[in-house]
Amino acid sequence: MTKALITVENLKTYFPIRAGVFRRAVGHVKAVDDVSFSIAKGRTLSIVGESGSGKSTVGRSILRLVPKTSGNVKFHDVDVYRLSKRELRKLRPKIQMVFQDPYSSLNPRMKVGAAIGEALIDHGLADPKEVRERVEAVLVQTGLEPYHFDRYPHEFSGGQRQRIVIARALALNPEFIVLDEPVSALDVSIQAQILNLLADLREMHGLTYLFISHDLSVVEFISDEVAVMYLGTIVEHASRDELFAHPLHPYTKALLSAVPIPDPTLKRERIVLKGDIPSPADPPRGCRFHTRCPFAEDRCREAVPELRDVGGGHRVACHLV
Amino acid sequence: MATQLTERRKAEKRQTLVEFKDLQTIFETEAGTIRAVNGVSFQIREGETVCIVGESGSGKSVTALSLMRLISPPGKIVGGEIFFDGKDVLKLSEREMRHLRGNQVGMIFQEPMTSLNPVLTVGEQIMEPLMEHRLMTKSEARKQAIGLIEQVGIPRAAEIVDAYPHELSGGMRQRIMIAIALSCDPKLLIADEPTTALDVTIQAQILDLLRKLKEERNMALMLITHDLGVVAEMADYVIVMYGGRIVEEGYVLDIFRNPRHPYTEGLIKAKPVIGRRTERLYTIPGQVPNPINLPNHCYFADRCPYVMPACLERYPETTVDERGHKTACFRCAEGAER
Amino acid sequence: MTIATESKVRAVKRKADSPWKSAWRRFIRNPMAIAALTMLTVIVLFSFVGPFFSPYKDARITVKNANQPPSAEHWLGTDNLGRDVVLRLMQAGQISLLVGLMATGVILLLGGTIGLVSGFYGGWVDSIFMRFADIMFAIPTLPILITFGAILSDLKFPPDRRIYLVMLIIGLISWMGLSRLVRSQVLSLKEQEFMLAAEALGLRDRRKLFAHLLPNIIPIMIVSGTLGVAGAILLESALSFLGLGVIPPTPSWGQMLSAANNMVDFSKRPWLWIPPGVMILITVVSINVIGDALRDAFDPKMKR
Repeated sequence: MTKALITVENLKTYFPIRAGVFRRAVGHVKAVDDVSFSIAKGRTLSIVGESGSGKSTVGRSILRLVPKTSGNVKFHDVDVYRLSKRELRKLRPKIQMVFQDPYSSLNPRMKVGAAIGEALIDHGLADPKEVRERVEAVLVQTGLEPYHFDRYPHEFSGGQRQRIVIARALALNPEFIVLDEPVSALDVSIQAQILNLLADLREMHGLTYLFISHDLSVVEFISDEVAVMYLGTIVEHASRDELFAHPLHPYTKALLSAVPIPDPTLKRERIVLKGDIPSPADPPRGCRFHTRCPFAEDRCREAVPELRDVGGGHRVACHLV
Repeated sequence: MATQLTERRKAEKRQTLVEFKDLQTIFETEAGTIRAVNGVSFQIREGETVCIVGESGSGKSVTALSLMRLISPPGKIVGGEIFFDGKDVLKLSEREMRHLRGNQVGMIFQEPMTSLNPVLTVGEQIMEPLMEHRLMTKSEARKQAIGLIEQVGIPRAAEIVDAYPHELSGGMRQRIMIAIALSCDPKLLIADEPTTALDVTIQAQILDLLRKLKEERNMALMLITHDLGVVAEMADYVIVMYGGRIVEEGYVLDIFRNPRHPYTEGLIKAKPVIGRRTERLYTIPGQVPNPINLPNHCYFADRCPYVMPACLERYPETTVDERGHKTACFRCAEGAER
Repeated sequence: MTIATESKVRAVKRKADSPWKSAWRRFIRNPMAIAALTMLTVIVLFSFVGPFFSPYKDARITVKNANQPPSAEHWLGTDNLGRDVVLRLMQAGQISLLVGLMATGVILLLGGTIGLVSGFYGGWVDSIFMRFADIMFAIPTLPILITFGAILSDLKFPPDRRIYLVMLIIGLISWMGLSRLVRSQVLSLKEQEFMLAAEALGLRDRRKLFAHLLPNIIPIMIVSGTLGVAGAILLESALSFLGLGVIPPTPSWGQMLSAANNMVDFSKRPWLWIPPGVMILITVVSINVIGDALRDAFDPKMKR
């Protein structure tokens, strides 16, 4: 095993729920509740989950865009949450992020070239004179044209904007990029273009990705490893081939069977989960999945299953496995 | 094959419920005229599920809204006819139209969070159309509302009827929307991306529910979606739209097994599918067309891998093969083999 | 690599306008806005250029010409000191417009900065500024101004410098609305992913404030600034009318109204108070129309 680039240890990120005149915290949304994983250099880990699973919060915690409650996030050997504001700012170029909504993630009043180049100047990574050249180079790398430098975001379609956002991250020469649902807002015919682009850039620059998504078919294409999250915890984590071939957790199985397959002749046995995802402010006791699990037993309602290795690095948190 | 053919024969015996004839809907914007729907013609038969597939700007939602006559300025229906149950919808008075909406045609939308009124209980919102169209008394309507909430698979219906929308999850709200749409026993339910805003496991529940309700009530379903997985699962008949026009239509098996328009083919190939491993995804190059200033020739020509000189001269006419599979592409017109 | 060929993006045919340019285009396409702008230009020219063409600009005050009705020599008559009302109207216009503009400048500077800083930093900075704004809102301004005016008069504050004080005071008592508006705009901008991206890119606060937030709040600053000018002109008129603003001999439209504040002038000499009243009305209406047109131009979705 190569050395980990990103290590997340027992990360907990709780958001206070405030109420009353004095805005006292009356409870917590346990967005991320004791999550640990590591990503080796050059690998792509995908986090899959539904709304309220805390997958986006994990991504934002790695960038320290949200305050953590406890645990560590390490980039190489540097504890991201121990850094001073200045040191953190210096680290920023190395860890980048691409967001879901390409419309809101670009400042509408800033030209594309300025949006991509400003961080280069602000960090002193490029001479103001050579910025244009550098920016044009990343524009080309992301499948855009050099003359797009002087255009405003509103002149571009969703897919092109997502390329701009990727170019903005790439310009800083990052080692690690958090991709938070980067293709969910795009049209089907554009999704494939962006996914191929991400795969190409990974190869060209030796990038490491954390890919956050709710779409298992996209995840299967892009990842080396997959972690499935449910209500703030990882319920299963394995290599891509292992996870798709032998899903062990009932939630993973249900998720896999719920994805509609574009083949009308296929008649699958679908595990339809009952009920809704519980609120992360008040997660069920015991196994968090027991309220929807078709196989739940008494012990599932009592004890929290531990995420344990069942062999070959396949980790699963279920009493029944 | 044999079962498929009998199914098709069965389908053809069904009465036509909705017929779009050369519908034209435009939007006048500052930047120019958008031909959102540009000469769309198709039929929906009784009890049939027709899926309209397309990407953003393909005109799939505007087609549905035109049927409901819910196009508001700067949009305008400028041409064509829409028949529902033999009546031309575009010629109905506002009063007759109100009778059609919510009574004979129900509609559900993508965003279950904003399509319910936050200050009314869900019960009140289900009761509204019942009292309006079915002239029920309040207590009758309430009883009916509880029944409907049960039918859409929500437990503890007698309590939920008095709940406010914010107390419910996204999936529950979409179920309530379905209950409202179904309250007056419509002959047609229009579902505009009904599961796009929902989680996968909830999407599976809602699709199952729609299928079940459709069977029970022998209701036609016009399902608008961008997800080919949903199409494969739900559709009897598929309409593929691109740039405000229908580029291909046919029975679901024909569309998936033998897509004839390069756009349909590309869409099917470009979607990553679980279990189908590839190093690279197939891509359709370029962008979804800008709905302003569409060219005079085939809209897909500049993204099409099979582009021919004719494609850049004029828009191809629609051809029908012996199986009823319609395609607007010169390759099909010439009977070219791939 | 094949990315370049496979996903080469089709050229954008025609370069589209910047958000500023397209807002300007929408603005000049609005006939009401053009009418109002023309009207306002006429008033500005009348006030600032007009006096050079007045035959009375160097005339001495001659009481024997006092209170003449409109005539061929004095188109709008003369006032109680024999001054030509047209010329007076022009000079008053200079003061009123200047007061309006400068006071708005103070409002934009104070309200904009406080709103921006409050919204951006949040926390205790925000609490302090916003509580301060609440207190300023709660102060009954009129009694304070009356007292203040009386003190100024007692202190024999030089009248020609008093107008600067009036500008400052109007600014000081009217910045709170704008600061709240800017703050709420900043808060909603902060929720946008591009602000999160700015954080992830490690940009300095200065850049976030001036390159990202400021350009996005300038539209509302321009709109409320424009409307603010009208408000300030009205407030100045009200203050002058109450004898708290500009005092004679410095003229302003409000002050001219105030000078005609007696039964005889009101019933017998309408040329003394109708013209300044009409000027205030036209100016304020034009500015408000321009403000509304700017709002529509910046945010076309708001229309209808």
